Amino acid sequence: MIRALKEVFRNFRYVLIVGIGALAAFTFAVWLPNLSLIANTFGKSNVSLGIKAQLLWGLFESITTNFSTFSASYTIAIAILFGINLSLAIYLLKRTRALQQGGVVAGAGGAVSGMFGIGCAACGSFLTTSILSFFGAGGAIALLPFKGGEFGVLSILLLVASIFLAARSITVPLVCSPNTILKNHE
Amino acid sequence: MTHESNEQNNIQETKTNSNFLLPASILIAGVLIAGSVVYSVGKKSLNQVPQPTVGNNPPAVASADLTEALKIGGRDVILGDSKAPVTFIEYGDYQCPFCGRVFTQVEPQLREEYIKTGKVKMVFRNFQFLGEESTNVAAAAECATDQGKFWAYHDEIYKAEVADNKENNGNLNRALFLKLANNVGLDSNAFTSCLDSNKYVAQIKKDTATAGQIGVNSTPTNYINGQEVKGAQPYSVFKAAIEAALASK
Repeated sequence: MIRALKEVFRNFRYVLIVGIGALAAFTFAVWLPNLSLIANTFGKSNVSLGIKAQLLWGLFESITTNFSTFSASYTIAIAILFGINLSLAIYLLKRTRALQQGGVVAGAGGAVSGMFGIGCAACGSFLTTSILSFFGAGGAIALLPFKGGEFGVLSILLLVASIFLAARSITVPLVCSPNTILKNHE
Repeated sequence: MTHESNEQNNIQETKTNSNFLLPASILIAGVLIAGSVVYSVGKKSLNQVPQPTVGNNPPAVASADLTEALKIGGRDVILGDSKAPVTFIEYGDYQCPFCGRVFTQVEPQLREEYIKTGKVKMVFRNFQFLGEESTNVAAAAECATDQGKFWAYHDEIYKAEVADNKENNGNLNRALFLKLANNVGLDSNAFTSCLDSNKYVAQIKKDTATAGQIGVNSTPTNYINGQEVKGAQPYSVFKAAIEAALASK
C-alpha cells in the first residue's frame, strides 16, 4: 500500500488533488448546517464583501466551537481520506483509460469501479452523518450511543478499504490474463 | 465459431462490464449528491416547514407562523434596548455544552459590541430537551423572571453548568437553585415558594414543544432578525449575521 501511495504521490498533481478533495469535503461538513445563512447573506447586495468573507471563514472556525473533539477528529480524518481516495481514483482512471486506448484490457477498470462503489458508500455514510447532525440532537441522532459518530467511524473504515483496494490494484503488475478465456473453453 | 472469435467476445464482454460498472457507480454517487442537495434545499425551507422533534410529530407550520412565533411577547425577557433594530433569539438548553460555549465565547463580545450599543436586543427561549434537570432549572429561571432578574439568574446558571460541564449528573438541584437565587439577590421566600410550587414546569414543557413546532430541533438554534444561525458558531459568524441584518435595515 505504501509503495502504491509513493508511486502516485511522486507526482505533485495528485498531492494537489488530495488537498482540493479534502478541502471540499471539510467545507461541505462545516457549511452544511448554515447553508441558508450563507445563501441569504450572499444574496444581499448591501452586505459588504468583507462581511461575506468573514462569514465563510468563521464557519471554518466552527470546527473548534461547534464540534466535539470526537466529531472534529473524524470529520478531519474523513476529509483527508476522501482527498486521498479521490486522487487514487483519478490516477487509476487515467491509467485504465490509457491502457484501453492501447487495446489492452486490464483488471484496473474493475478495481476503479469497486473503489467507486466503496467510496460512494463512504460518502453516503458521511452524508448521513452531516444530514443527521444537520437535523440536530433532537432527532434520531440523539438515540444513538455516540450521537451519530457511528456513521463517521463507518465512513473512515469504508474509505480506508477503498484506498486499500486502489493501492492493491496500483501495485498489481499490468498483464493480459488469458485465464478467463481459457476457462470458457474448457 | 473459432477460438479467436471467442476470445474477442470475452474481451468485448469484459470491456462491457467495466464500462457498465463505472457509470453505475457514478450514477450512485450522483444520486447521493443529489440527495444531499435536496436535503440542503429542504434545509433552506426548514424555516417554513419545520421538522418534527423527538417523540410526537407536531403539525408543520407555515412561514407566517414562524414569523409570528419569533415575535417578542409573552414571558420573553429582553436583554438590551427593546427598540434595537436587530433581534437575537436563542433557543437553548441550560445543560447543553454548546449553549455553554455560546455563553462564554460569544455573549461577552456580543453584549459589549452590539447589545450595550443599542444595536441588538437578545431574548433567550426554552428548548429544554436534555432531561428533567434542564426543565427544573428553566422553571427556576422563570421564578427569577417573576422578580425581574431573569438574565442575572440565566447567567448564574450557565456559569455553574459550564464549570460542571456534565449533563444530568444531579448538580442542577434545589440547593443550587436557592444558592443562585441568593447570588443574584432574589427574595428568598418568594423564590422558594415559586420553586416548590412547580408552577412553571408545565410552561417549560410547553415552550419546548412550541419551539419544536417551528423547527427547532437542536441547541443552540439562534434567529437573528428571523435568519436561522445553527449551532455554537464562533463570534465572527454571529457578527457577520448581525452586520448583514443591520445592512438590510
